[in-house]
Amino acid sequence: MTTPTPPGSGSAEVSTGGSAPASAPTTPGTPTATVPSSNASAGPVGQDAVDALQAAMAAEHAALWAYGLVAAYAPDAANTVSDMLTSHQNIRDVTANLLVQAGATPVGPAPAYTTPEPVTDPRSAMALALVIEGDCAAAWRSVIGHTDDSTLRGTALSALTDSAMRMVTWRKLAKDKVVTAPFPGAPDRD
Amino acid sequence: MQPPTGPGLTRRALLTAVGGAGLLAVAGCNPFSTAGKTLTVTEEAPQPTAPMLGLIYKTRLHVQRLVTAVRTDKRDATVLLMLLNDRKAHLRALQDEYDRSIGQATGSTSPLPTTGVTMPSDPDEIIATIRGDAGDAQVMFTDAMSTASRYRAELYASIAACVATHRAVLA
Repeated sequence: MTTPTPPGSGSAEVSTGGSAPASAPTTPGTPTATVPSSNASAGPVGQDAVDALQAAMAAEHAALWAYGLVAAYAPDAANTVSDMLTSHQNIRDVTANLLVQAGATPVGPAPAYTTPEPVTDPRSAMALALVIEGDCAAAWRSVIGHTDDSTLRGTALSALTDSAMRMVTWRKLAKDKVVTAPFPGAPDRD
Repeated sequence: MQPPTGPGLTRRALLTAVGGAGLLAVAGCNPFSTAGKTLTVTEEAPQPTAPMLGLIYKTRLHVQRLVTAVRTDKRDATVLLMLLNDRKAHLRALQDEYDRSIGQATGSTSPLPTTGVTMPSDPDEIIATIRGDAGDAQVMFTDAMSTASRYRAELYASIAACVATHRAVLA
């Protein structure tokens, strides 16, 4: 995924993929969040879940930015990119609503992002798309690991599954031999 | 003729007495009996199966079916082998987590006895069967995720998302 550039500093960096914006619990029962929360009265959702949701929100912003780059370098996949952009816009709006309901202010997009590898052709564009989806999957998996609310878990699983599906689509387009992954969103297993 | 009058037994009193006795008889009450002893015997309920074991057993069954499917369906062997590798990884992760939860070293759970599974010979039917297994697994892991601990919820969610992609690949 892309990493955001702090306002005024140019661009943010897209992650190298596989790492959750909010760290997933690596030890059973001891989830930790690394992304600081915005102002929040977390309400029933819980502060740790709000932090994870903010990380997911940031990942969705980065995805929306990066797909513009993918569209520019993979014109043959224009329809696919359009569908995926719509999907990411929807989940971004859902996430914003969840955060507002929790009393938090949703994080905004960075002015720009840097990609892990330069995007110069369809192949590198598809690689970026895979990184984007991997980061979103990791962020949504982390939301599941930071809440006990079954409704929020359901929403996060839906977003995680959508990202996993999109990764399959990109791997198929890239003509990869293996198009599925056993643990979508898990940084150490994907 | 005059009807009998006086303090004798009226028809209403007679019917009331007979009816009351009948009700007691139907209810199984004997007002003249002594209170009997009631002996309650409670059998010990069998140990409940840990929810995770159900997921492990089902995953193992799906792995066995996929092994058979790969052997039987040469047409789709490449795709089925890819799914088999994912499901084997799921099984390993679930067994490791279960071993950890009961305090055993990971990988120490002895494999359960395997039973032979049969698959249809028609490749289309095999794909339909495997797709059905993936759908079952998606439902099971989604349900399990909603109430699991946070750590396990993440594991179950990833597995549910993975088998969802299996359904898409087989569609």
